[in-house]
Amino acid sequence: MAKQDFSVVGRRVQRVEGYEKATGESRYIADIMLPRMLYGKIFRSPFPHARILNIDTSKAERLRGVRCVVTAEDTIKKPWGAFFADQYPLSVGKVRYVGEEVAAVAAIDRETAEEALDLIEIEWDELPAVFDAEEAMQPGAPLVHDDKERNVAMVIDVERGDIEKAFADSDVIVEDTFQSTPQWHCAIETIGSVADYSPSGKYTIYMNTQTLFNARYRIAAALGVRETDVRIIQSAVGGGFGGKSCDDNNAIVAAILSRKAGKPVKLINTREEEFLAGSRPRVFMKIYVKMGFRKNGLIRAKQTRVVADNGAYSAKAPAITGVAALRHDTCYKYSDVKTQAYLVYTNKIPTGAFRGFGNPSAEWAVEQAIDEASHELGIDPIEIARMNAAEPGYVSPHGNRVISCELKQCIDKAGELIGWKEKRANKKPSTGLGLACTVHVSGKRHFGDYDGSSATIKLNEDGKALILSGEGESGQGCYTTMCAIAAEELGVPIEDVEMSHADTDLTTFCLGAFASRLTYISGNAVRDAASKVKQQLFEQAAEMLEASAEDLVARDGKIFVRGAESKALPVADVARARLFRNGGAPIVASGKFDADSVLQDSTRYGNESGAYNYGCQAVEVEVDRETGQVKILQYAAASDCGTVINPVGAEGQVEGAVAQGIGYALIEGLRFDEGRPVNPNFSDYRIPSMRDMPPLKHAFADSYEPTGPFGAKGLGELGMDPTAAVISNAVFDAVGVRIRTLPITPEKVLHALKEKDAKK
Amino acid sequence: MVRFDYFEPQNISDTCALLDEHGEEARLIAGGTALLIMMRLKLLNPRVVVSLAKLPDFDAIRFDPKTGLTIGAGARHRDIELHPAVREHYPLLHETFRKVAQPRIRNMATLGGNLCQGDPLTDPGASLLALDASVVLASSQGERMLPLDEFFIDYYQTAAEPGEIMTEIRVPPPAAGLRWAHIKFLPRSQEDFATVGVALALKTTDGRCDDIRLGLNSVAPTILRAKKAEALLRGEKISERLIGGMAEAAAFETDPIDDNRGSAEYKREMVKVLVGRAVAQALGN
Repeated sequence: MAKQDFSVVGRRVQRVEGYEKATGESRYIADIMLPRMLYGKIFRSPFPHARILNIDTSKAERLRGVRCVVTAEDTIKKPWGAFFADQYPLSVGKVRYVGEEVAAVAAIDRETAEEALDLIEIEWDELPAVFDAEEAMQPGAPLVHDDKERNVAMVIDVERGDIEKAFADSDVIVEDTFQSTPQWHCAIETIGSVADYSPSGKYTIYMNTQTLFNARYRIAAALGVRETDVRIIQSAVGGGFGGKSCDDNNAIVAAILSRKAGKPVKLINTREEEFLAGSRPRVFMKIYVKMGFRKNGLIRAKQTRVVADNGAYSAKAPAITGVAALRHDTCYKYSDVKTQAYLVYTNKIPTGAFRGFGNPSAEWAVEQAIDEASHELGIDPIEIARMNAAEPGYVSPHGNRVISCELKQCIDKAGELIGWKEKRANKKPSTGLGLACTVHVSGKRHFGDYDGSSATIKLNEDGKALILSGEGESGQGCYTTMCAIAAEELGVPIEDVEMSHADTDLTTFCLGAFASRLTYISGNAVRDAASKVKQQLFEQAAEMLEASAEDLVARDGKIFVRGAESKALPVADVARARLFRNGGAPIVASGKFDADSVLQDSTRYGNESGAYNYGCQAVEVEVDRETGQVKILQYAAASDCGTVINPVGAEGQVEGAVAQGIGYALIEGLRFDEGRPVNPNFSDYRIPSMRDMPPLKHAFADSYEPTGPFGAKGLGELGMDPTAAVISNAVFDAVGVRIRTLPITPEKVLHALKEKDAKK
Repeated sequence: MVRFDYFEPQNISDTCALLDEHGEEARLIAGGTALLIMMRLKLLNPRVVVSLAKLPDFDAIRFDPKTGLTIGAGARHRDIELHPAVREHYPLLHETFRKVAQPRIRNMATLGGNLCQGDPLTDPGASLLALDASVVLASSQGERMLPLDEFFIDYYQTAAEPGEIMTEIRVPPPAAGLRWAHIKFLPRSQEDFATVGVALALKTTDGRCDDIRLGLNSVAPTILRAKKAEALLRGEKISERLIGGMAEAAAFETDPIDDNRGSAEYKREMVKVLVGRAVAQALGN
């Protein structure tokens, strides 16, 4: 279908839940109030590693207003986790990081609950702790989990092709080591839930999760009940970014409290709790890269060694480490690659999913190594990127099969937007250009060999459609995208499509928002449902128009015989006619989609996603040689997300992602002291504000993904994957120093400049 | 449970009487931007909170060419920033207040509250030091005026005695031909506290420095005046070499700490760089 034929897709439409959000009508978790509701608070470990000898809750229980206190004794003491079951709802036997949930209180108000925490008495036996992943791998290091030798949670060791031969064939070899940093999501709303246990055995949990059904599965496992015994209702979500994908204990503890108290319990993290033990920050990694190039710039070999800090529990880090080790091999045309990756436990906050997954850490390393090679080879980095870029039909060494791919177009567009050629030809002192490329998935097959979605659409008798989907809206705008897709397929205005709130009891199974999957995966399921609804409409309309269903067209809320628009029937009339008649029925249909991908085998081989999104970003920076401060003069981002369904949303995704990427590159990070983040608050942990954003130009590639809904694929994470490397490469171009640890603080730049001057 | 008694006295003497009565257990609240955070973090747990909201004219800003600028301690940052006399006669103050946090905070936070908090990371104190400001402190014993120079004692400690309340901030009339510069070094975010803050006021005749006052924030337990650095320039013919020496002296007078904004060493070095830049800027102003 050619783009000009779309009547909703690609139009600048108003966000469907925009009015509620702008007027404050949206009900976030703090707004959920249930009759008889109590407030919960969690007692958190003050130690990074300690044995619990005894817990005495009697004083806390006696405090006026306290309704119950819970510890591990109120749980089934069974560990849970997304990939490895290694985390308990409340500590069993010992604590493994500062902030871990040890006990919890439900009281008539927040203050009483807080006061009760001070009355919980615990006898501790402090244990030696380990805070650095490489130290944790050394023999004799304290064990975070007794059964995990050398604290290694997982190892990946993969070689494709012949790496030794490939390096021997290379003309230039670069080798370097890069360190990435933990980054917190800093969603404006912290994680929270309201759990309401019914004596019938059912837990109804309102929560601001971005993955309802995964949350249901994990909560049910932790509580020792069946999935259907847990009903998750999504409240409005004030930002997810991966941090609300239910890898933490908040909702589970709320559920345990509610069961014991016999009343609903609200439990919302404070900002400090969110930093200490809430949203799981980006996995930080030390990445050694070795790459071989031909004289002409073609990549010949790539080898990496990744040491990833898992923190005390695993969350999504096993998959993230896999992405860091392997995903970038789908960005460029590689033949011979080798990677060894170690995921290592430490006595720190568990790390986990954050927009970009393992990509930002990997690209921070690999895209800098490629930049180093371009300088060594004397070839313009933009040329190196172009000549190595993946193309349609590329199959990566790990079996990723690329269908649509406009990476070259993205490289060209980013170059044009930044003025690469002119600026490179007229380089000014202390200013520099940088560039990096990225690849991301549109969904990733992890969970139970399923990367699908389902949706139901009801067409009401007034002609308005309602989409029932359990994917949920986490602030990223997917409702608008889903409504646009349904409207396009049904031939109705977007105003005639609504989306229900996600609720595990009312919608069919959906995996939720992660891996940039919703536009592509859920979009396809919604389109399938809409197409089936349209079929039912056409059957009815064919009767009314005395025509054949195959000759019918739906557009702008009307159905007509192709070429006879003057005799069009409003969709509402058709829907009414279908319902209100002898033997009538409402119009409703369910749609489904499962991506054409495979679960990777034990050697991590297999096409992990149905479609691959590509991007290239470029920047011009100016470095203050006396302070080391990096100023971004202009930023450019070009993205290949196939057809842009919702331009306003897509632009917002890129802008927001670049902002988070800039934060990752230049600003964000907390110092740790004995495993405890120092000053976990927004005064000390800064993220870029509106006023910190540089001028940003963006472009979308002319691209069409044949397996996507109307040619679309994912976008959400792409925009922050390469940003840190883009900026670091520009700093090198500006002043000739390479920063290898994130973030690129002015202090590090100044220090590097001095070292460089001293060598002269 | 956070429980406290709350009073809204109508005049200064009633306020002082409440402070005398409750002593250390009482805290004053004006804009609340500092106190509420301290209470939320449980760093302070006052039994009595005394609001200054009802004090008459407590937020007045007055200018008289002969006596200078008088700012009521309850004046909000944003009102000071936008006051016509401040814009016209005290551009250094306008520039400084413009850079404090963001409008949401500036519309709440008061200058008296800011100074009495004694937080070395904030901006107004350094610029007021550079302009030779004084503060008026009232108690049931009467009033006293103190040069701001003597007000900041240590980290979160000021010269205000128990039972005293700051009522006014006074800035001398603008000196003719005063040159100035303000640099708020914010390498992380515009919303951050300064990594280093430099406020400079300078009078020159024919390239000679008649007088100089240099205020610095975020680089010591208190906001400070770099007097040794000032002395190197005062009365001297200004040269590149002298500026360099003076900037180095200023860095030597600081006592920064390592934090998420940078190491002590880096901050001290930035004082040197930025004081040099401030002098160059002031000479250009």
